[in-house]
Amino acid sequence: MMDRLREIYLVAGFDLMESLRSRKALVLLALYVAGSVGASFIFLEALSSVEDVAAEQLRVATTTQPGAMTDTLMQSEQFLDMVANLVDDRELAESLVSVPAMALFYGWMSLTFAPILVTLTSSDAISSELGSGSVRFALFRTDRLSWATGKLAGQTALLGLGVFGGALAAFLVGWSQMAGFDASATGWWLARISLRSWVFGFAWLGLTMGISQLTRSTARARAGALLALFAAAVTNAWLGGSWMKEHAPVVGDTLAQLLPQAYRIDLWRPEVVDRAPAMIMCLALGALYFAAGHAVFSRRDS
Amino acid sequence: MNALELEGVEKSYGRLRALDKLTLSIPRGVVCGLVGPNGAGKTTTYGVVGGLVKPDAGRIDILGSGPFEPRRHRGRVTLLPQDCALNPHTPVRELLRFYARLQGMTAGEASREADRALDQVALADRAGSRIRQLSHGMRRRVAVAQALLGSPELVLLDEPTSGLDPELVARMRDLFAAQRGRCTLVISSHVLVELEAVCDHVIFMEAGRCVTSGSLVELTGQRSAVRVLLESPVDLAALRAALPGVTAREDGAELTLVVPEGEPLAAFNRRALTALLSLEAEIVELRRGRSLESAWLARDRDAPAPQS
Repeated sequence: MMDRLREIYLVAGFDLMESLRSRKALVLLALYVAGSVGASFIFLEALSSVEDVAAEQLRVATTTQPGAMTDTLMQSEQFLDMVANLVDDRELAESLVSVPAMALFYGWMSLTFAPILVTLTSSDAISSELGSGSVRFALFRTDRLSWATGKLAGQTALLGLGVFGGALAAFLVGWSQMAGFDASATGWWLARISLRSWVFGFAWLGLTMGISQLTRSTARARAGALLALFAAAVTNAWLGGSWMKEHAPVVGDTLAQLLPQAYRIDLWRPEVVDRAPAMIMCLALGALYFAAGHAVFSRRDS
Repeated sequence: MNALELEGVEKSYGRLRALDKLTLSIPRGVVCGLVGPNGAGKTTTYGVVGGLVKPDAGRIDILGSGPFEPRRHRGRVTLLPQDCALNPHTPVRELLRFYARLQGMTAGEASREADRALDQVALADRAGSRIRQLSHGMRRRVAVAQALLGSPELVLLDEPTSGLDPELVARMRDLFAAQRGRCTLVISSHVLVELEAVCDHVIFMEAGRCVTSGSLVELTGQRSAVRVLLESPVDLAALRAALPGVTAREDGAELTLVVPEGEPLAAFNRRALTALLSLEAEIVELRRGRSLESAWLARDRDAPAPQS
């Protein structure tokens, strides 16, 4: 067991460094972080506009920096009603409006874009090594399960770098641009929300890496991962649609549990006991998808 | 005990039969040449021995401890695969350190081994370069270096010198020859002259089967025949009369003399040379046995009955 853990650790470290050295992963990570910065600025612009409108309606002076009225806005009953209607859960809505605006925005953004990030950065993590044959140098020294798990761990670390790097970028934008920016509360919430996005992203990473084990072609692996992402979105929409709710609600709900999107809202729940099942399910789904791909990889010639 | 034993190993890719009840054995400590045309099954043989390719049937025994199992054989068996790319973004030394650590070495041991292996393949000055910055020949040498990390007991080299310049080929040949007795080396190559210079055991493969195998001395008849290259043909009847009991065959300018059983080679050489010189034969070259290439070309004639 210790041997296996050691090998997984070695492969993961090597894979992370190799990914960081490759321009592709670096560029994609940089784009994600830059996107986070850009989106944060756009968010602040929108926030500033909302505050201006609110200030005009309340007949008070407009603010020069966005964020000065955010707390007041977010704690208003009208805003709470609006969020409660959106998430269909009053308790969850109350917890959401207590989250600092920048953290709330980044959480939404990272939960939306982490699946796309992993699809772009990790879809060829295994298939490229199968295609080039470099896997053969490693499989003489470790077994396939340790090697593939090490690759998964390396890509998980890469995803973590992206998600936490993006959070740091959002924090810096808020810190430099928002009035009344609560650094400690925002930082704490960004860290918590990044962890949840990381876990959510792991489910998609498992799917992407599972597909990557099925083919030697990097193009096929990438296309397969993008197709799976699209298929999951369509299936989730169909399973949650009115037809399924009317004709086969139990089947729809059950099948929906096999998709990561089913746990996205629950990741926002304030209590650990409410949130933990969603996080565990995301991790389990990631492992399940990965294991399904590995079942094929472990039997094929390399 | 043999380093490697294969018995009735079969492998098909769809309708293509890559290995057809392949049976062979390689003694420990030899440098073995695996010879065969393209598609003979050499690379598949390496694959099934190294656990990279799943055989359909047959028995494989590596170093007396069963078929390949990474944790049991890591560091004891190494492979230089054919046409496989190394991770392009990693510096050479770091890549070798990674492989050495996967073999079970500590960080310190791995660093020392990486440096030693790089020195062996004359790449110490490129230790910090990334793989993608190296030429094809240099990458091939890194691949050879990874196969020599640690103290492997069985090293499988698939076309190790392809793409290397003549000077490096000679250096690699010396490096492989120096492993004799330390470990078992199995080298596949199309360059038979190269194999002949370094191997002491040879396996001929064709259509996924072992056609012939044995020591180089046996296969090339180095103890049983003398090959004489002549400027012009000699009078064969006169030669036979001058060398009673010796079978002489002439093929153009090449004359083959079969050593009578029991006669020491040195004594036979003296007798044969005296006879040839007395007939005023213009000798260009004299060598023991035939070349490996001749042995390969004559494999159908010399091969035992096909395996059942």
